[in-house]
Amino acid sequence: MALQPKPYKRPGFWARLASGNPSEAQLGYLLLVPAFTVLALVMLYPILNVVWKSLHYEKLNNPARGTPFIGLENFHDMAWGEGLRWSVTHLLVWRLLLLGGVAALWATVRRRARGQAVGWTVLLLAVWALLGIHPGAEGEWNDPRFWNAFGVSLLIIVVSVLGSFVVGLPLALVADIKTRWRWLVRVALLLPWAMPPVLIGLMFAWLFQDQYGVVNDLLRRVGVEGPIWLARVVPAIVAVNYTLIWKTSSFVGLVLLAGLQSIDRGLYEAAEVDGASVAQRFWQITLPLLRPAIAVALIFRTLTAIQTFDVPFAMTRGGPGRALETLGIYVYNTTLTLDIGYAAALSVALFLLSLAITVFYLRWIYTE
Amino acid sequence: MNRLFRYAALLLVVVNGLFPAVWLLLTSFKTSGELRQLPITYWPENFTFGNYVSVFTENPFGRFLLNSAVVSVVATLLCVLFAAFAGYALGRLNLPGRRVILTLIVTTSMFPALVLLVPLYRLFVGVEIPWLSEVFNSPIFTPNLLNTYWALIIPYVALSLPIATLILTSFFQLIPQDLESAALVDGCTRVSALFRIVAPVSAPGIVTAAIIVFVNSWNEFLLALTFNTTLQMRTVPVGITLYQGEYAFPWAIISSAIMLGVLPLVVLIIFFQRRIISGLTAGGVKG
Amino acid sequence: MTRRFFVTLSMTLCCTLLGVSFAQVRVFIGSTLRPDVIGPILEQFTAETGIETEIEEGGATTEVRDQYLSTILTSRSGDIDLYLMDVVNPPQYAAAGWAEPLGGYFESDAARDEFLEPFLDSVVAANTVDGQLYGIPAWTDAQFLYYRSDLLEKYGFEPPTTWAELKEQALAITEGEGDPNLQGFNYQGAAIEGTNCTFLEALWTAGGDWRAEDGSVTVDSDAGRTALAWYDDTLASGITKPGIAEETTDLSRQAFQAGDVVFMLNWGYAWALFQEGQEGEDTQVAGKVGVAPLPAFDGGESATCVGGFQWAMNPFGDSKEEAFQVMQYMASYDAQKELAISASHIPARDALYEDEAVLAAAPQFGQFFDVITNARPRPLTPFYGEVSELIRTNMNAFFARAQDAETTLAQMQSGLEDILEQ
Repeated sequence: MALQPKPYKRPGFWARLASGNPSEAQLGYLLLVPAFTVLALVMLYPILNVVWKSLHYEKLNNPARGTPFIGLENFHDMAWGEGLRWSVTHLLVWRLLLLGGVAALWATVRRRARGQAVGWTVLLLAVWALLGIHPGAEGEWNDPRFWNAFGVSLLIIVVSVLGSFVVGLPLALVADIKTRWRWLVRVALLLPWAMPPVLIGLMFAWLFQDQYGVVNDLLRRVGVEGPIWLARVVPAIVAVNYTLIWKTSSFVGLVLLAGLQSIDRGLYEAAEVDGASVAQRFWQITLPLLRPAIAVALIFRTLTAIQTFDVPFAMTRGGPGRALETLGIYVYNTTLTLDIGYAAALSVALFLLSLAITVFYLRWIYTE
Repeated sequence: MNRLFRYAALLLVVVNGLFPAVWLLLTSFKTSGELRQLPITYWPENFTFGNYVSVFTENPFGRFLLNSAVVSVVATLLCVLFAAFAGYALGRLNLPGRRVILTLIVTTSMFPALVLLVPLYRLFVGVEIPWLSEVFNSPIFTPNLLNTYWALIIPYVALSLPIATLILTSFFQLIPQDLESAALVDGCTRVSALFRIVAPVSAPGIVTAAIIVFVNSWNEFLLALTFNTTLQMRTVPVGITLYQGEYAFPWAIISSAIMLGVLPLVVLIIFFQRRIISGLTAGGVKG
Repeated sequence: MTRRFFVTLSMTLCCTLLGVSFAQVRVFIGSTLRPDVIGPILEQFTAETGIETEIEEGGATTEVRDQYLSTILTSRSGDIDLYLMDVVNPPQYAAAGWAEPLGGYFESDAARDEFLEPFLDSVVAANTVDGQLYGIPAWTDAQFLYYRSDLLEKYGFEPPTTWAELKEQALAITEGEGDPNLQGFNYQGAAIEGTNCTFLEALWTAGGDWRAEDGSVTVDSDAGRTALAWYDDTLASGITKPGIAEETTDLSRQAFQAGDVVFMLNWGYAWALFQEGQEGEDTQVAGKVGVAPLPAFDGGESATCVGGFQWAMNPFGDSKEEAFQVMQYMASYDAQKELAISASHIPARDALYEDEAVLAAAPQFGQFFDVITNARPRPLTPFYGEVSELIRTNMNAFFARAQDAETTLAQMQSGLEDILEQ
């Protein structure tokens, strides 16, 4: 009887694991277990709870109506308007700004990455088009406050995210310079972001105060009479966005700095030998290699910008009037009026908005 | 010229970043009366340390610092560890559906903490686990976590996991595949490759993630306010608000408290960045 | 790793689980509502009755406190048994089932009425919803007209009884003093709760109210127009600073305390600070302050907002009988006297305004009494949260000059109608 060779048997799942040499996918899923466990433990029940509540009428101080299941009625109430119109002149200023953004975008990325430019342009144009929708003569938004908050949040997203990059990128570049004062620069970079956000708003409210505030005092010293920052609509919007940019550009700077540090110095040296100018080095080495870091910062800046609450609330409580009532503040105000169902629906709307943006970003990161 | 430009840029960054903090620092040495003087003063007229003394005598601020430190350190360690695992899986391994998984993780950070508060509170007070109750024939509850460190550590890990995972995923992606392949050829297992090759190279990413998680945890307010209600279990951000009056906002004391709360953070961050970065360049990592 | 983590976790948990909740009655008090004074009174109670009590502090500001309370109560948690409820909250909390109806804890309705008899009418009214009692008064408060008695004397004025007089005096004094930092009239215009009072007080003193007897909303009315025209006038005539839309309660107080204001609307807490200042904060106006009832418009009567706090019982708590005993004790003459003397909380019992020990410690209460009797509750509706948000937001926009009086009134009118319709 000839000796039969023992047929090769692929080791089982646990055997492979135990051998310390699992397959790639096995290892991958295994490594994801702790993260998913924690998220499921903490977030799963609350999130499902919110989604469930958003499909109900639940207003604690109106027990007569009980808590019936109402399907998507909350969302219908929120978004659907009667007699909607579209007009060119509605929010003209913002739309022109956006249009300018589109043009600038085209100009800069025309040569490279045409696919991305198309994506961005389509998105911006869609926002541009949305801005033109408004209630017609006889019609009204079902919930004008939602659309107001939506607009306010949109403005804050655009201004503060762009702003934090315009400020944050140079911050990171400067913090990467080797000098004796690097530690001070790093502190300056980190400090705005390390301060408790609840108190940053209060502090800036104080700095911008018309009589005892530092901003107007400094302006007065150079002979300019500053506006009453927080008690007038436009100055308040400026002040709040400035504060947001001040606070968040340091976060952006931090993430980008880490990106800069992981770029191989050898590349710069090689480029310098080849006679590339500083600007060339920046555009051709730094920026492309920084892209993943930029994407990370961009995603999280946008997601946090959508939820902006602390700073405008502490500075003006969303005022003057409702000029700075963001979606976050609206959710807060709604919970305080005990309208649990509608607050949940607003949160889900906020979530969907964030989700759309994230999916878009992640698609963008993973295209190459 | 280049040099001048460089120093101007440095100066601008420093002034922009530090001005409000310096203002707070100066405030913390002023008396409250001076804050309501017109015209306002910049340098304290009557230099006083009284505010710093008050911070410690009015409330157990040392205890607040300790609580914050424990919660933030543990949360950071756990969070970065879990995120590193997840980031490695998503960034370097050929995992089917990884974009969906990443989206799923990031998704959890998209609900406002405010609306998650009530369900989380219910969860932490202790909810009945129906199927366990059936098995044991008597009601079984999850443990009551209120007023423990875990009541904050667990949610902080969860709240910061999405950003930490995203950062680490993108940093792991940056590392040249050759580096790891070489290690694999040399007989390393995937796991040891993770710890020996990938982790050191992605140190800037790990440090960044750690700093972000740490600062997020250190500054979190809403959950800390709601879950840990005894004075001995308060954290710094909630503790700072305890110096407020019903209407009054004593900036002099509060700015001292803010300074004391930020100081450990800054020291830690500087220390961390220095050590890691110098260690990194000394190791001479070349791609 | 993970397993050990959870083992440690559950062990820690079990320990803490056993550690808490031996106290019989847990009382939630905002950290700013003087737990340091309330604590000893509760200890006294424990010594007399043997019922254990424990204080839980938290929430410095009204928002933070409301936020915390609503989390606990929405979760139907029995973690606290008693809490202090703001005067505007009884109708909302009653509707939400967050405050235990207290009628059943008295032997009879007659016993209840006898118990409530010594309290100020406005305070009892604020705690009664559809004939049922939901809170027991802890202390009261009101907005007062503070004025600089030295300046009024210098220019030979008596405290104004009409708004027109107030304007005249403010103009005369600010012009006479010639100090650019001196404001004639200061009130709250930020989007905060106090701004509702700013509006309501003007509305009431113009003879109006937010709602008529038949329940219809009457904000967009002659009285409403008179009220807003007056505030327009304060800004136009310059007696009020243009940045009034960012003025919060304490900013007003600080400005007055620094000697920069002639007339101001504010709550009772400001008085003690004006006389003595506080740690590290001087006062420029000690002995130079008077309080008066709010002025009215021609043909109107003085009125002001009632404030203060009430003891309320958590319906999800599990030691209700004991909790009720604590409430009764805290509402007793002696306990309220102690609160008045040691915490300067304005008493909710009439008789304390004539108590010699109280007047010796807080002489201002003698002057306060006339104002307190004019105090009226803010809208008593389960939807007060929305009502309040609507009024303060619109008033804030009005003070920020972002919308005119007509629009403001129209918006409040239609908004209030929508809120009450639901």
